[in-house]
Amino acid sequence: MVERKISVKRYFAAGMITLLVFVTGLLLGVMLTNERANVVETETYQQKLDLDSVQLQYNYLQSFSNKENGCAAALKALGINLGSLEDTRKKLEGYISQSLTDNEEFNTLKREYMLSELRYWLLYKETEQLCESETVSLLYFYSNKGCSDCSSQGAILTNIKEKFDKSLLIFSIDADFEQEPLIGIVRENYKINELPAIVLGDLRIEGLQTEDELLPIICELLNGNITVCQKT
Amino acid sequence: MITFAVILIWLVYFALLYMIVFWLIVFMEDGISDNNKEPTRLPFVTIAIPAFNEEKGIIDTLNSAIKLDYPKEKMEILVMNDGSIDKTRQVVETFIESNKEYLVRLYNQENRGKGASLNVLLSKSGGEIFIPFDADSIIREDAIKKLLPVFEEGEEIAAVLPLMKVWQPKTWIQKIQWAEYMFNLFYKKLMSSLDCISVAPGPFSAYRKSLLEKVGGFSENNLTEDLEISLRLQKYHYKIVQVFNTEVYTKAPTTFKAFYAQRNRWYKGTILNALKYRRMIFNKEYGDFGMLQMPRLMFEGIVVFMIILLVAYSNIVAPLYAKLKMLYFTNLNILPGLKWGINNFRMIDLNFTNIFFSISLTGFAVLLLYYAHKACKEKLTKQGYFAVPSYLLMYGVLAGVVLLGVFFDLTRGKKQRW
Repeated sequence: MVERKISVKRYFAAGMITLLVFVTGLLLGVMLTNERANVVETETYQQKLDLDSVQLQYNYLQSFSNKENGCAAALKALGINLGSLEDTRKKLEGYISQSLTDNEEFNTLKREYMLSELRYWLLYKETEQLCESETVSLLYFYSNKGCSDCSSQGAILTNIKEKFDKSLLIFSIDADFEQEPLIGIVRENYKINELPAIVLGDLRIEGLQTEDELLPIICELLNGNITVCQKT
Repeated sequence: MITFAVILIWLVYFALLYMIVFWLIVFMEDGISDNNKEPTRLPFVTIAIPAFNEEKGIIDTLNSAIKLDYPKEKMEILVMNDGSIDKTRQVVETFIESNKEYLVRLYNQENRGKGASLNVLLSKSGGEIFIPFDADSIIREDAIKKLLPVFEEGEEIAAVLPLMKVWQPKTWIQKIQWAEYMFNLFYKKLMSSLDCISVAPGPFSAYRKSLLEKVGGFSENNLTEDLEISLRLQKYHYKIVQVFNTEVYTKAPTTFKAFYAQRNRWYKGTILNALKYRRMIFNKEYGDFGMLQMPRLMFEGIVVFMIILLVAYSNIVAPLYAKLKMLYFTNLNILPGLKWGINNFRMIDLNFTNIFFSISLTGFAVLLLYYAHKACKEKLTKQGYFAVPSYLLMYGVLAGVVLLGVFFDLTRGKKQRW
C-alpha cells in the first residue's frame, strides 16, 4: 500500500509565492493609478491657468473697442487650449476605463474636465458674438456606459478634426456623467435622448454620423471657405 | 473597472501560476532520479498485443518486441486479433512461422474491444509481469531490464511506465504532439514522485500480474481503459511509477481528423472515468492524488473549455468586432487616430498589471519548460524551430476545438460506448 500524504507545505508554499506575485501585480496597478492621477492633475493645473487667460482675454475684448487683433489672438488661444484639454480628457477616459476601482480622484478630475469643456463652449459662444469667426463649434455628447457606437464616433471626429484643424472646435461632453448637474441641463436643453449625439450650430443630430454625412454640414456652416470643402 | 471577465482572467492567471510554481517546487525538492540497478532476477514476462486492423504496423511492433534484451525463454508474446477485417491475422501467422525460436502466440476472437482483448490475454498469460503493448508502438531494447528493478523496490508497486515519445514525427500535427509528449513526460515524472499518476498508457506499461488480477483486470467497453485501470490501482492504494531511463515510441495521429477522434475519446473517457471514481475527488484518504489529481481530471476539461470561450470572446471577438466597426465607419482611415496615439503616448499609459502578469507567468512557464527539456535529454529544436512554438501557440486552439466537440457530444447526449 502506498503511504498517502498531502503535501500541505508545498501547497502552502506555492500559494504564498503565487499570492506574492499576484499582489505585486495588483500593487503595481494601484501605484500606476496614483501616478496617472498625479500626471493628469498637474496638467489640470496648467489648463486652469490657460482657461483663466482666455477668460481674461474675453473680458479685455469686452472692455476695449479695438477688436481686430484681440479677437484673432483670443480665438487662437481658445483653439489651442481646447486641443490640449481634449487630449488630456481622452487620456483620462482611458485611465478611468482601465482603473480597477471607482477612483474618487479620477471622478473629481473628470468633473473638472467636463466643467472646463462647458466653460470653453460658453466662452466660444460669447466670443462668437463679439468677433467675426471662421470657426465652427461641434458639441459632442458621448457615454462610457452602453454606447457601442461612441468609440466609432470618436474616431470619426478625430479624423474630421484632422481635416479641418483650427476651423473646427470639438467640445466633448459625457452625457451620462451624473456628478455634474450642468450636463443634465445642457442635455435637457438640446433634448438629447440617443447617444452619440452632435450639436452643430443650431442643428441637433442623434446617432452615429459618418464623415461623409458630417462634412457637408460643417462645410455649409463654414461657407465653403476651406480647401477640404472645395475638393468635395 | 473590475468586470466579470477581468476576475475570471485573474483566476485563470492565479491557477496557472499556482500549478507552475507548485510543480517547480516539487522538482526543486524531489529532483528527477531513476533506479539504474540491474534486476536481481529475471521473472517470466508476458507481452500482450491487442490488435484490431493493424496489418500495417504490427510487424514493426512484433519485431521490436523480439529484439528486446531479455532471455527469449523467459518472455512470451501474445497477440489478440480482435476481429480484424484486414490481413492482421495472416501477417501475424507469417511472422510466427518465420520466428519459431520465440514464444509468440496468436488468438482470434470476434471484435470485443481492447479491454476485453487484454483480459483474455491476461487469463492466458504465464508471466509474473504483464505488459500490454499497443500494435502501433515500438519499444527500445533495454526496456524490460530498466523496468524490472523498480518492481523490486516494493510489493505495492503495481505498474512501471517507460517514457513515451512520438515515433518519427512527420506532419505538423505530429510535431506538435512530439512537443506535447515531451512536456507531459516531465510532468508525469513529477507526479510520479507524489504518487499522482492517473494514466498508464497503452504502449508498454508494465503491470505486476498478481496485483492486476487482484483489482479485477481491465475494464471492458471503457473509452480509456488505460486511465480506468490506473484510477482503480490508485483506489486500492497501489503504486504507479514513471521511469525516465527507457523509452517507447508511439505512432501519433497524422491528421487533424485522427487527432480529433483520439482526443475526443480521451477527454470523454477522462470525464466519465473521473465521474466513476468521484469518491476520490477531494478525498484526504488519497493524499495528493485525491486533493490534486482527481479534481484536475474532473474539472480541467470543463474549466479550460469555459476559459477558452470567455477569453476568446472578451479578448478577441468583442475587440475585433469593435475595431472592424470602427474601420468600417471611418472608411479605413485610422491614421489620425494612430498619430494622436503616438504623439500623446506616455509610459504610464501601459497597463503595468497585465504586463507584469504576462511576464511573470511566461517566465515561470519557460523555467519549467527548460527543466522539462533538460530532463528529457532532448533538444527543443529537434523537430525544427517551429515544433515547440507551434505547440505553445496552437495547442490551446486544438484542445479548444476538441473540447467544443466533447461538450456538444455530451450535452446532446450522444451515446457513449462504456
